[in-house]
Amino acid sequence: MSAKLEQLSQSLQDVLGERIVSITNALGELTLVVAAADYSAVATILRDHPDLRFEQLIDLCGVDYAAYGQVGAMLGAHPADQPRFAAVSHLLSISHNWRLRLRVFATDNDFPVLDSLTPVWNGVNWFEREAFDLFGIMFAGHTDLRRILTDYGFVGHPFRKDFPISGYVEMRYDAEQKRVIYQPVSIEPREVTPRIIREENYGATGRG
Amino acid sequence: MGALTAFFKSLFLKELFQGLAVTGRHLFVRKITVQFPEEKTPQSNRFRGLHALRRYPNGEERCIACKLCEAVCPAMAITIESAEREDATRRTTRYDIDLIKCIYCGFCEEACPVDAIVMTRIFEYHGEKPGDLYYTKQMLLAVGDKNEVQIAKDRAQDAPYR
Amino acid sequence: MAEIQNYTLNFGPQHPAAHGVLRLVLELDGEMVVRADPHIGLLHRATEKLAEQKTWLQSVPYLDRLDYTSMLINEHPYVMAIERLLGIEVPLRAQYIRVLFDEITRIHNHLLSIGTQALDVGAMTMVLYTFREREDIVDMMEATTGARMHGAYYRPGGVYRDLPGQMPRYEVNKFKNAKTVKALNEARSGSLLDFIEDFSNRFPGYCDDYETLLTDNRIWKQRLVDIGIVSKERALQRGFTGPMLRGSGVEWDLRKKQPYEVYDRLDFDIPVGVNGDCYDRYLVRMEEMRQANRIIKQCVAWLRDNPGPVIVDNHKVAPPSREKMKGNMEELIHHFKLFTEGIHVPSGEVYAGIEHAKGEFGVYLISDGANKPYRMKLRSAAFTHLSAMDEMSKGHMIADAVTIIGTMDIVFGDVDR
Repeated sequence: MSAKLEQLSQSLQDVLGERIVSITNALGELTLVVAAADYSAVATILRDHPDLRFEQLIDLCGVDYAAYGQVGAMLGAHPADQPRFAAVSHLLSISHNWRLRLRVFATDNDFPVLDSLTPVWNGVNWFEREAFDLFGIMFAGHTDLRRILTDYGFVGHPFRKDFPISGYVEMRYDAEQKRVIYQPVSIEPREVTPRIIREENYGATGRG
Repeated sequence: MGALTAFFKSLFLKELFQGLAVTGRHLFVRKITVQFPEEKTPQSNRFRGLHALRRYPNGEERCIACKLCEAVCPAMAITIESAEREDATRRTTRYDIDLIKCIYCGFCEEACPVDAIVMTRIFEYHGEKPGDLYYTKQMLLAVGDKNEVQIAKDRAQDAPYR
Repeated sequence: MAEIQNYTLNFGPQHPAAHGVLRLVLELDGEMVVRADPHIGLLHRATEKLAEQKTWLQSVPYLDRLDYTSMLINEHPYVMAIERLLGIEVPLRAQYIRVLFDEITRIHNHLLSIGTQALDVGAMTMVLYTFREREDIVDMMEATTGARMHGAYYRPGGVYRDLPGQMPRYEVNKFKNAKTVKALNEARSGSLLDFIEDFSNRFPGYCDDYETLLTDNRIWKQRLVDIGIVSKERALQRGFTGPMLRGSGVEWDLRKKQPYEVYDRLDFDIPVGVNGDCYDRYLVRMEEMRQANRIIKQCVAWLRDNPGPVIVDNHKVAPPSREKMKGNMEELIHHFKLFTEGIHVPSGEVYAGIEHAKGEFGVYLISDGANKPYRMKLRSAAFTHLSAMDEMSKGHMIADAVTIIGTMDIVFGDVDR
């Protein structure tokens, strides 16, 4: 498998050249990082170039790197000069039988915008809607960028690291008003096991 | 020829009668219906139903308030408070399981180092008003006392696998 | 005269043919679907966000609840992803047990899928037959995991415990005399493996029954043939996987192409459709059940001959056995550490995809070295398939929309996560 990955890595370097920000081979998987400006152009090449031929986009998800490597309060201690939001997609080539992870960081942390991949892979439509809904990443060129998983009229982007797990509002039926009402959450946050990061190689089992 | 056979097969509703024959055959096959609740389907000794707190044969409660189950519970359904007793042993003063939160994964039983919290075979229990399915320590101990024979038998049977 | 407008119909969220809580806004021209807009998220439980608050082990039971018609197979990519991050090798017996239960779950899923699809298009009895076989399967799961559906059985590093040596049995009561009970218990007299083997011997016969009832049936064919045709190119574009992709004639199965666990040692075939319509997908699912049955037989034969450990002997990952834990201080500390703080997974990211009954089910994990995942993304096949609802149902009659929902084999726990 690793010989195959090296071949893929080589083809990527040959084909994309300057446009590669970084390319990593870890745990038997190849991760390609490109700049937001090159995103959709690279995607088209990845799909169409005979040496790459990624016919399928398996998955696209948003990632919020705001609390990466941090413990304790997981609230926006993110340095402003570092990109916070990324879209990570997993591509699959049926003809070559290989996979690639494509990551692109949005340049603006306050209003993350990325190109939409819907013209390249139609199946990405709902994945981008999901990333928009949960992380607030805008996809320029998406024809139908609505919320998908959250409630109608939901405010905020729940999967961002600064969004509390219990949310802000809760819903219940009010017998007096005879309708469903929203009110501030009454759940008290409870954490039994705290998040802990041990020193390097704690619990290392086989590797490293 | 093929077209002709297909025509006649279609004309005489062959495939429909074949399907009907399957149904007809099952008219005479032994029924598998189980007359619940008078009789029940076989139940595994690993079944994860209602929780129970166990006691040692001398009547002492097993739980030592180590709070492993509270820590491992993915749904945070368990709440424990503990205190030292007069005989200087640590025991729980509060052991509540909110059965509405519980997802019956069995991790509490897996984590318990003294086999105190267990999941029994009981699956027919209900609550009639909010709060009925919030089981306190006394209720859990009562479940354990009532079913101790079955619980002990099931644990012994499954011991080699755990 | 006023111009006749398109009619908008709200299908669901509580519609029996919607397979869960699907709200489908259909724009109709007469009886023809012009636009279908699925509104999903009514069962959204934010499993991915919850996983960020839980230790690695604690998320396992939540994975069961995603696709609640194929439970154990959901846990598989999750534990596989953790194992890849940790770089541990799973004992061979555990791999076989996982494959065995993956295939049992696949049959379980397809039985439900075909049974309920038949129910949706009007073949009432099918679901009764398929649920009878499903009962045997949930019995197997109960005997092994302790729960009929939500097993929580796979663990990072293996499976929780070995297969039981005995099956629970029927008892004599006022409805069943000793003779009936004896006949019912015949298959249950031995171990779980005997029961599974007995089932796998009976199962092809059941499949024949289903085929007699459906495959040639004219009503079934009228409702399925040439409905919801997806070409090869469109299937790839839309990110289809599993039976939906194979029904369109693409020979793609992760079990063969990117084998995981012990699939490369097993002998089975991949069924592929020709036309890419609902009928082909039904045939593919039917054949997949037979192939899954073949795999089950091979796994049972192997598991019989090869006893051994079912979970790694590394107490930084898997807890020690109860006997050891109670007799040894060090093991007890491991036990306490594992059940409180949990596993520490080295930082990195990994995507593990498996051939789920519905298509490719993948788990993408990002770890920053903590005892909880930094981000977990679940890639469910049904989500992508449902996104093609508009494309597939356009131009079909409203009754065909039900067939198309059925053929996509969607389950809302899986779509909404």
